[in-house]
Amino acid sequence: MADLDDIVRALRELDTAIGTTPLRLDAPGVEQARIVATELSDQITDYLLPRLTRLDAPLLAVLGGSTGSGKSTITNSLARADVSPAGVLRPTTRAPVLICHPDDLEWFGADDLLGDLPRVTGDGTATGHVLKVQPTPTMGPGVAIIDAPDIDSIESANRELAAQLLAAADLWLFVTTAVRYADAVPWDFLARARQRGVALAIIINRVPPGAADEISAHLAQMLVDGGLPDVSLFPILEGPLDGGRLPEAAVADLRGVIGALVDDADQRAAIVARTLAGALASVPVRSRQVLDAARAQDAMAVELRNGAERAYAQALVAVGNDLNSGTLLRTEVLERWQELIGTGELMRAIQSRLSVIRDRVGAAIRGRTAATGEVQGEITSTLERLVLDHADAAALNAVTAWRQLPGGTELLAGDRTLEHMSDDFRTALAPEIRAWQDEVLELVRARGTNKRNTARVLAFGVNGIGVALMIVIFAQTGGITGGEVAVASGTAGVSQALLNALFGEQAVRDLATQARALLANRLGSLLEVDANRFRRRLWEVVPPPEASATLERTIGDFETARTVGLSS
Amino acid sequence: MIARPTFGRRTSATGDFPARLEALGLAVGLAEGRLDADDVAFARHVVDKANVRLRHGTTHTLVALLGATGSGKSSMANAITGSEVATTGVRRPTTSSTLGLVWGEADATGLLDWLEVSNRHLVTAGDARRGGHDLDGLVLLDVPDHDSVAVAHRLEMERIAEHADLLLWVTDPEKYADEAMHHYLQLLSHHGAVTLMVLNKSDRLIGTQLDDCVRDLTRLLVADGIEKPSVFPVSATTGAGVDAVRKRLAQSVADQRAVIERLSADITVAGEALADHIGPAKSTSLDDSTARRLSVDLADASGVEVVAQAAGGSYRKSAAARTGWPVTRWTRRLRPDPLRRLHLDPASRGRSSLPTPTGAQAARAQAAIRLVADEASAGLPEPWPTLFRSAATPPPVTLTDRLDIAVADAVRTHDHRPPRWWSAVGVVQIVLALAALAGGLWLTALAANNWMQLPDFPTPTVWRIPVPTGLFLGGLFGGWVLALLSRQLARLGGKRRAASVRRAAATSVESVADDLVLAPLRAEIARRSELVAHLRRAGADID
Repeated sequence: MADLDDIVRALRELDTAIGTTPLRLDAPGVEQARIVATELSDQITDYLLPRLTRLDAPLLAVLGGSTGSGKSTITNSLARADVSPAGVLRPTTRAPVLICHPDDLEWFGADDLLGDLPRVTGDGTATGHVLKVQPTPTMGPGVAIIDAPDIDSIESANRELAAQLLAAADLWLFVTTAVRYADAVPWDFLARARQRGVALAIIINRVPPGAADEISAHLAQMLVDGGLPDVSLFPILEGPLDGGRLPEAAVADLRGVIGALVDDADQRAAIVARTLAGALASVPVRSRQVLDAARAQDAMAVELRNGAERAYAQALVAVGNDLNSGTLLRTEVLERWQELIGTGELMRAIQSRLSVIRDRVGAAIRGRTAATGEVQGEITSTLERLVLDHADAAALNAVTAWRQLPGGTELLAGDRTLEHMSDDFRTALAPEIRAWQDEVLELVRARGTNKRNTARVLAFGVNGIGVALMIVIFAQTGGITGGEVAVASGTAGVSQALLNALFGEQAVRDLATQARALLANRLGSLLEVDANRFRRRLWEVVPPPEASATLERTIGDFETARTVGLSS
Repeated sequence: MIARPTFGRRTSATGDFPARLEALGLAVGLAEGRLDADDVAFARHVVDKANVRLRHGTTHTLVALLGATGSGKSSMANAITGSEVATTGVRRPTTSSTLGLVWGEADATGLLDWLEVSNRHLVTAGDARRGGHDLDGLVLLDVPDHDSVAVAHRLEMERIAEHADLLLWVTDPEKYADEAMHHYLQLLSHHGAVTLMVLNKSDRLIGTQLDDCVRDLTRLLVADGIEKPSVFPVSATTGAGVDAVRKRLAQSVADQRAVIERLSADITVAGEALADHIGPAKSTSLDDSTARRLSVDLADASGVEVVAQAAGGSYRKSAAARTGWPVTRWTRRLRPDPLRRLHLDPASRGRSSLPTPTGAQAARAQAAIRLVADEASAGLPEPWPTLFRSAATPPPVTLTDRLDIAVADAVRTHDHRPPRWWSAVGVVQIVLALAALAGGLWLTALAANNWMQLPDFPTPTVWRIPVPTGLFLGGLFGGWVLALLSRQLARLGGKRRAASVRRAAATSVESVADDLVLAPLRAEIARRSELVAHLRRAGADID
């Protein structure tokens, strides 16, 4: 038993692993994998775990099949009592009915087997998602029968419940009719029975008199072709009902087989073991299908995440390029600055005479701190505008990328807010830029307090120096100066000369680099926050990346446990 | 309560069928490349099919016997014919290829060729129970089943169901609630007018069972979306109810409406599939403020300001060259003209040397264009926002080039003639300079005279100022003052020149914006409205 405990433990882990792999991204084939996952998980909790812990429980036969094939009539006939209502309106049976010997009742409490179906007892017709348990003295002990809802009517709840019940059966009593036996839906179920190695018997109801041999032969051939060679067939001839039940002769064969099972505990155990082994053997195959789908989902999620992140990374690069292009600031801003530091064309011509510049600039700045604030404001709004434009483009590019990727359109779900930057971004941007400017001023101040510069910096005013540094950062093209950017480079040149005079060339270069890095950092993390909207959307539907690995490991563990457990 | 719009449409719709068909055809043309490719392909298929079917005329009515395996389609065919023309059997599935049964003298070869039904049978006077000529024109198609394991049967059934005029479903008390059949009925829920339901094997139900069963089946059909379904209880073995079906078929054949009703339902389905992508019919118009904002943003992105400043600078430079002090004003000519530096002086041709739009400016232009497109697509579902955006977005190079040319032309064609006061001031400056020169020479002569101890000339004086001194100092001072004055005037004039160039360039940019952005966007909006109109004429429901 220790080995069975290992299997039980491994199955529990596997079930948990399947539960944490929700397969929520939409893609071709995912729907199929979701069904496999649900059915597998249901079968583990409804059947495999209860059955493994109590191998001596009664054998459970499920009477399943098409709507109108006479399942309830057969059940009533076998029970020799009206336990399940039969009728001409389709589908008849909505809630399944379990009949068993009164002594076996204790086995079918709501605890484990089909645990999610609430039990109903007593008279009356049950409806909804319940299991009616009907103690029936005419049943032999050791065998219970469930009259299941149909597998193919327009009621989808019936179809799902029937599939769940059949997955919990030790023995399938599959009911079809003379007009039904070539239907596609039942054959889908028979294929499933073959995959899971279920013990199976087929009842062909309503066989026209005289056609029994032809139909039985045809069906037997179809079964052989379908990979189910040794299935017992029980034809029931079409004829008048006797008080709503089949004549005793029609069900004699079937009753005989069930009677034999009641009498022979070993035969029962053999059937239970066969179905159990088949179901256990099918678990790795089916969970691998789920695993494949989960892997595909992981890959899709990575693609989607990359798509969004690429859009934002491109935006950050584009912002950086524009900041370094040297043409960020509008001519008016630069000219305003030019006026501010009071240098005309003459000044530009004699840049080398630093002392002159220093004196004039110093005087200009001291006198016009208010105007410095104005230029600083201009820089703020220019930067803001630039970053907003790029953030907006990034959001749209990310959305476009998602639309072109599998699963992306469903993820967007017609939500157009993602196409634009978030409102949070818009409100956070201006304070962020101002904070950067404060940082720049702080840099200048820190540099100034070091040495003899302090006096000079004080003379020019920290704000003025800070703005000069910003001008140098945004208006210089890294050495490329042509006629067309004469104004910009000229202004930057003057500012640069001013700063060089104050701090020395190397220090200015360091300051500019530092300030640029600080800005890039701030904008980068701000864009990152906006990109997180896309990541969050993904996280809502995608399991953590280790879920697939866990699933794979639990499948492996289960396989080991199964091989060891069943061979001993 | 107001009746569902589909009600009125469906009954009246067949009346203007040709108009609806034409409208759907036009809608398909517009939807191509815009709406979901599958839905467009389906609508195109419906239009093509309708045209081909109509070419074959309405003399014949194609009635397809559809149903599950074993429900008795072939038995039904035999019951209607009155003889054993279709194979029946107990082995499932029985019928594997479609059999066409043709009543009457009219030639149905073309129609059956179109249907690709090669297995044909002419119902002749020899067939029993043929009765009179009431069924002449009927083409009854015994079709394979839709629910057996034979997939080929399902495909054949779908093909025939798609082309037939009247769909005669055959089911039985055992299978009438099957998902397999109701799946198709739900897909064809708009085809209620051409759907008949036969409940075969009614002899197996006794007493009230038959009524219960018919009522239950009717309920399911209504749930499938079929209004006023007709259910005929029939027993193909006993012959009960067969005459009612024959009568109904005879009526259809006689009034020849099934063809139009069938195609009409197809148009409704195809039209509604396309209409699903439309969203609210109300189309947003672009207002002036949007257009103005776009021009402002584009002007900003295309360097209008740089050009305007350069024009102002050019004006100031020329003014200085014409009105400055003649002795030094020639040095002005050595400085480059700001406009010429941009290759924008009136004599220049071709592209300007405006700085190519920076990333920031390009991003600004893109954002402005996107804003306009998004405003126009507000409240519309995909694909419209994307379609509007791509209609409004010109290729980036085209936009840059056109803007550059627009701005350059605005400057080049601007009035650059020198104002008259320049020449007047210039003449005065020369006069003053000459006066100073004359005074200077005179003073020099006086000094030379003095040095050579020659007798003094009499020096005339005006208001006690010696004339040569007055000429010399007055000329110099006057020139300087005049130059100063002119410079102030030139500064004002430069501002005015800059402003007028700015205006002219803005107007050019506006026309480019109109050409490359607004006009294509308006055209796309118009195409959408046109599509809405066509779909409405085709009978689709668009709010």
